Amino acid sequence: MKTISDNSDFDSQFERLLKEEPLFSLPDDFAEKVSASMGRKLIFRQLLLNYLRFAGGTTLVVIVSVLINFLISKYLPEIFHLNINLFGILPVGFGILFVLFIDRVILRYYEFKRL
Amino acid sequence: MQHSQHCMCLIVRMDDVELIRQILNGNLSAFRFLVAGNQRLVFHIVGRIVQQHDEIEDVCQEVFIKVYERLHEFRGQSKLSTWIAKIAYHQSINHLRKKKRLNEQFFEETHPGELEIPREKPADFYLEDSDVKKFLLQKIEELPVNYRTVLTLYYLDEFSYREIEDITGMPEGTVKSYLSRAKGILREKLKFVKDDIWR
Repeated sequence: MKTISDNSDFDSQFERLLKEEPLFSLPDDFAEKVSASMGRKLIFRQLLLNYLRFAGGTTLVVIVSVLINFLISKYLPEIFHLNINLFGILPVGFGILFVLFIDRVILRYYEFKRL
Repeated sequence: MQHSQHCMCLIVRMDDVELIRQILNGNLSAFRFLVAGNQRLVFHIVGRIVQQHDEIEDVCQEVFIKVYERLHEFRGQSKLSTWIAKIAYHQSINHLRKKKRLNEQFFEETHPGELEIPREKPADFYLEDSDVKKFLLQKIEELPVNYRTVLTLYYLDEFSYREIEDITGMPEGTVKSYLSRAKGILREKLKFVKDDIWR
């Protein structure tokens, strides 16, 4: 192979040098690391999505129940009457949802990450 | 729709189509294969633009995450490698902007005469191939960002002028002009090698 000191053709040696690889490179396990990182991202998204579906569904059921209760209490008080204190229920509800978020998303994610 | 599918068949190789389909179906092994096949390309672009060794790997990783997330947008108007290179280029430029290391003058027209071209020869320089290579690579790193990007895309990754235009958004004429100027500067810096040999 020709080297730069082959004085016959500086130009072609110059062009050859421009095609030389940089002196440093990515680690050998780079592709592995990227796909593992992508995998973790996907798992987290899936856990979050599952949780949001669950939390959304639960909230909807609670809202509908409160609404039905309100309507029955108002129009058919002889059948059912129950006073619900929303200011008491809401913090408890949010508390439960927060605990479920920690359990179903954060802890499961770290459990998966640890494996 | 029919036309874009036709284009996809023309430009994207069949194995790329299958690879993309597998990745979109959630196959992470296929994604790993795509990363392994394109990491050299992404590394060249990110490495030459970002330059900081401790940041290059993170930016390369961000590029591939973006590739994964935007793969459904790929319509096959260009080769997959050109599309990935485009993401790598823009991600690197954005990274420089975020780090406030992007000197806007590098994006403006610069004439070779305006750039300082000292005729330097390192004290411990011997006329070995590895020395010349090291010296030249170092001088490439000192070029303005647009010059070294164009040089990298053309020589290291062997993209055509048209593809470089697609990747960087620079007109083809500008790409040719930057390439010629970059080579002129490097040739000048390496002139002492030529002079030493032909003395």
